[in-house]
Amino acid sequence: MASPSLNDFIAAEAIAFGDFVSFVEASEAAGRLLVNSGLVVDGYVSEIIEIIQNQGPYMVIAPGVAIVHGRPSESVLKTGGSMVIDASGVISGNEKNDPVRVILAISAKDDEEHLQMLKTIAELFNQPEMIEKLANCSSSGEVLNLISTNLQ
Amino acid sequence: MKLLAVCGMGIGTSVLLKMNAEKVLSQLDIEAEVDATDIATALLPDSPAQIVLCTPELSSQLDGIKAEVISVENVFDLDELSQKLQKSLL
Repeated sequence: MASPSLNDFIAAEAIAFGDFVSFVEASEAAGRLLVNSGLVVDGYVSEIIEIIQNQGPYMVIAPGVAIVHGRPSESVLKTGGSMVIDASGVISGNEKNDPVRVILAISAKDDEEHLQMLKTIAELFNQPEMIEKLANCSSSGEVLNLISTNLQ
Repeated sequence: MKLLAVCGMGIGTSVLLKMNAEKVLSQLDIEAEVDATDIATALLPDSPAQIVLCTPELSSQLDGIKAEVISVENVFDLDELSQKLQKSLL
């Protein structure tokens, strides 16, 4: 059996495109997708926002990409992720890595699955051209296809 | 040799840092153990880590730590990680 890929953690309906006014707004949208996908309860979204506001934009971990999440708690129902793409980018205040064009929100319930998900995220984004490719996508189908063709 | 990869919660950024640091360390043929953790744990006085990896925004929260702090701007850039680790270790 093939090992699980990012496609197993991000559903087509958990991928959205938008032109957001701020990093917080885009992160909130990514968090909302986790709620809508049944991965977390409502309170998780405000945790995400709180962490950004309290700790600053440290989650913008590479040029153009942020990984946002809340605490592992009862707010988390399942391990999984969502993706928000803003092709024109939002400013987070992380000068080295702005503008942010791809925001992944993740939820961690099961350690093993969570590690597998992060492993596939690393494999994908260790390819520097991935941000540009994702920003050029216009449908969630395209995104999922891009992901599966770029993972071993 | 023990390294810590640190982020606010110890479950996102730090785990990615750990995975990429392990990749780079094995390419450099350096034997080391890398753990992902949160800031509070990294600051414990009995932490055995020689090196702490984090992103620049968090490095100020690690003031006073006895380990060497390496701040990584691009977590997905294996070259940056490799250069910074080599500078510290070789």
